[in-house]
Amino acid sequence: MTGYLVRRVLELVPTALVIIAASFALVRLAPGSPFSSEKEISPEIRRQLEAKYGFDRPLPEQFVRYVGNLLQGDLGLSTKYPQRSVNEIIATGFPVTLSLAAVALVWSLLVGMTAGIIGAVRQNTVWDHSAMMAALVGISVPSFVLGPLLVLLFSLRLQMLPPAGWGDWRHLILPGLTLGTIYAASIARLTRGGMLEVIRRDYIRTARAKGLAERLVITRHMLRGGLLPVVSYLGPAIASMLTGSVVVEKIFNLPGIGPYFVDAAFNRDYFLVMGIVLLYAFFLLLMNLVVDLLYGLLDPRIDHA
Amino acid sequence: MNASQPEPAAPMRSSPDGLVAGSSLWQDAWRRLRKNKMAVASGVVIAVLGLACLLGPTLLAVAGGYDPDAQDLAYGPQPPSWQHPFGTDFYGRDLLVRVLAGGQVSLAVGILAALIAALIGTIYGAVSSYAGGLVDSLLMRVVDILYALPYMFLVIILVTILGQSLVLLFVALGAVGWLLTARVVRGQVMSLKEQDFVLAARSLGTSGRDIVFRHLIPNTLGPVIVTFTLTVPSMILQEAFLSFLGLGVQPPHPSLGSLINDGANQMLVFWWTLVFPGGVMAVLLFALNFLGDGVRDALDPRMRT
Repeated sequence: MTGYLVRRVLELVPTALVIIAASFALVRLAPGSPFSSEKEISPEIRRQLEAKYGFDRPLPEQFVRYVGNLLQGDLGLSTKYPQRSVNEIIATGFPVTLSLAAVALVWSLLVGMTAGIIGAVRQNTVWDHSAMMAALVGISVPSFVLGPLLVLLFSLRLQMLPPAGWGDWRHLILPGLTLGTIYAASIARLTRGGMLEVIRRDYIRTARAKGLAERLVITRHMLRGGLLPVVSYLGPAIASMLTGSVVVEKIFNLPGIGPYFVDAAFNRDYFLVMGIVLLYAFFLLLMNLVVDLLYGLLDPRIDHA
Repeated sequence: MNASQPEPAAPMRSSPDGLVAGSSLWQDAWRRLRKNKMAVASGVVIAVLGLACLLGPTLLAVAGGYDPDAQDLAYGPQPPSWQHPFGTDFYGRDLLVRVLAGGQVSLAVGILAALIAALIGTIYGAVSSYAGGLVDSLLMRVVDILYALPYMFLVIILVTILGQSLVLLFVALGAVGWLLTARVVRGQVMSLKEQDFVLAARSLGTSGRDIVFRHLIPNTLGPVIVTFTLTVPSMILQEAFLSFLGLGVQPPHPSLGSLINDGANQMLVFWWTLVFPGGVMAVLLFALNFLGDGVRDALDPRMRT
């Protein structure tokens, strides 16, 4: 297991390098520059600005320097917000995005797995059909439709939760529901499918035959089978929750990382764009690694040795 | 994903016009699809919506002088009426025409982007798998790395680089969305290329290119179609997502995403500006997802979840 972990982490190094190079190329080879925006600036000032950020050097040199700084945890300076480093911007925005994604994840697992278990245990009954129908509706209602509707109901009609903005935990509930519902729907389908795969296996019959309570058969044995597809879905799901939060942050006016990214891409804020892309890519790689490890824990037949 | 192989008889009888030889598979699938009432109903809904979006704006313009983009500020927002079944928006534009015109954009982007994704993915996956060895590992490594990049962020960068035209929008979506198809096709070809009909073709002196394009790819069509039908709604969702952020279709032209964005901003006063575009979007995605599920079950009963 340890050997496997070490190997996987070592494998991440070339992948990470390629990702850094690819995103650097994509961002830097794009037409336009961070200083080509609204007002005309004199060539001297422009040269000084370029020198400040090191843009006057040849690209390969800039790349080497960027990677060097990256290794020391320095993501560079923002060109749009000259007073702030990319590290600072990420440090203020990312916790918000992360807690939003966490709420969404908990919500989607809770609702999705409950619906999936009901669907599988009561297969082909009214319960099953309504749970799966609800899941399909959940997949089909985009967050930017669901969000405003939730605000309309819970904030404006019922006055239970704040409609937008940032403050305490109550500000995260509606955004979390908005972001998580579509994943809840997928998780419900995956849980049901996974459990139905194992529901007629011999070991389930054995568990029942030895007199195990039905509740334990479901939670200990069937659910384990149901969890495998869910776990492999979690990596991509968490990744897309993080990126999907861009829209939700806009709907609910949350100070997360999303709005910064859209602005940065528009303004060619090179280091900010790179910083955010790399942060997300790093998170994704980490998630996939965790998922693979979890997979081995859930299904001992998968040997990581 | 456990993609199935074609029925054993089909590849054996495969001729250069591949599809005809495998027709029993397609007839079976068609029969199964027709038996699925919900999928048929979804198909009808999609056909009606598609026709309405395709012809509606033109018909309404000719018959009633409705223009999706012409403003009438004095008229302003009006609630639904016989003259304007969906009401009018803040600028006095008929919302029904705008929703239909927006639906046109959504459907066009969804289908074309999914086609591009299917095309790139199929060729990439088939070539990679047929080549095998080092080429295969390298090409698949690229897919892994792209998987680790935050998908939506890449699209946002591409859109800001390429500029906001409709054509570039679906190119950007398609260019990033082919990864799943590539993996599915690669998996298919892995097992197909070991079968006797490929050996037969090779021993007759068929070139590698012809084997890939004439023998292997036609036999992967089932899973490719399944992936395609499920990619369309996700592409439509992503176009709406971009338009919602102001990165997609530019005003005054409507898109379902930008209409929903406008509606969300004024839902308190003019509820119809959110409800109708949001409702049409949800119905469209619901029907597409349902049809996609139906096609999957029909083409490959073993993939059923």
